[in-house]
Amino acid sequence: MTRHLEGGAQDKENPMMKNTFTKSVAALALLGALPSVAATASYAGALCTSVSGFKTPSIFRSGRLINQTGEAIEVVCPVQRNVVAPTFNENASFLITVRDPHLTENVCCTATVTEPDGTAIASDSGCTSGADTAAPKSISLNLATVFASVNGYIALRCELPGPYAGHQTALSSFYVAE
Amino acid sequence: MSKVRWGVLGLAGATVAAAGVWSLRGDAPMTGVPTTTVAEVRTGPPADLEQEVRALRAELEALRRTQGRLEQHPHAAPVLPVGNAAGKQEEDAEGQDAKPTEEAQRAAQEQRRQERVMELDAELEAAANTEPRDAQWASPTESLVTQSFQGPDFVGSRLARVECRTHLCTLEVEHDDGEAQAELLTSLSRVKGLRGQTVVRPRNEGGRRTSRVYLSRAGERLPLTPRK
Repeated sequence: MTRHLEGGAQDKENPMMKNTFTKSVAALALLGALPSVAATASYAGALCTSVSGFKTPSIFRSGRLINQTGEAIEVVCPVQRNVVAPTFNENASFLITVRDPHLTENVCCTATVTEPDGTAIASDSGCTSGADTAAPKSISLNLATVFASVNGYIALRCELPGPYAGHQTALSSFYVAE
Repeated sequence: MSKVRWGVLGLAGATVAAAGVWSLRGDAPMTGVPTTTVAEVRTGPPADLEQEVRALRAELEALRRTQGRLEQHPHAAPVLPVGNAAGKQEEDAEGQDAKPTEEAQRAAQEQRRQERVMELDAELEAAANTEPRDAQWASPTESLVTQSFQGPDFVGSRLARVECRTHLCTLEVEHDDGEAQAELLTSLSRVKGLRGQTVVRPRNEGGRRTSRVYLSRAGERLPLTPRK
């Protein structure tokens, strides 16, 4: 009797269970997708700001940043977070495109994850190698643990050497994938 | 008089008998309703369970924080855990319930983040303790780090310990103030020869500011296993 009643109840619940199952699958799919919802963005070098005192680089109309100061300079570039849940993002990759005509010095960049109060907690650094007056070079960086608290931010810092035999270093663009 | 007594006794007996019969009916299996209730509990959507687990985690986190505050300041007034706050809010209008839920979710997220950071720290620590020492790289790198801390970029920070292995170095740094602590990673990344991945774990224990730094060999990655 009891079995019959339970069976009857289950029979009645079948449509509801199907509905619940569908909702559950959808909810789980959404939950699983949340941390992986990532985005990429490309920025012009013009976005970067010099942090080398009065040594200001030139910005070309193309959006490239060129070091025409005659000395080495450092620039800092802000990066917008493009993930739904920044606190759970474990990976951020950078691809920086530069021009490095200097035979002995290199263009070096550092990507940094920083807590909202300004304390840097993770970074990756890389430099170009060799020299090329015409073809651009790229620097690839990877921040393995992008684990800042809520409102933590990412920034890029690059060191551009001075001119070499009349050729100037330049930061053309940078690409960020989170 | 005796008739009245017997009447009262009879009425009481009838009442007890009726109550007994009623209670026996109550024990009998109900048709539909209880089974449905059990079925609802069993087949509840996982999203609800997830939410409940998050709320419980948030409450646990709130209790831990309260305990931490009490340990630091024994006379401080305890902060109500999230659950109690939500309980009080139930009396208010439904529209005001959204705020505690958001706070609970945020607390749960923060708890999950901290747990993940602890996992990664354990991975780094294990590598730092078990890796063999490559003396050809480790010794000059330790010297480079030690010399760097004598430069102007590291004013306000003192290197307490540095130990390099094959792929990574571990640094213990003490700071005079928060500014020196905040700028430590930037200063380290400006040192030529230390171009790799870096993770800093800043600590502030009773005003004593320290940082533990894990630094990878140039061009190599720190031994961290990211989740896909």
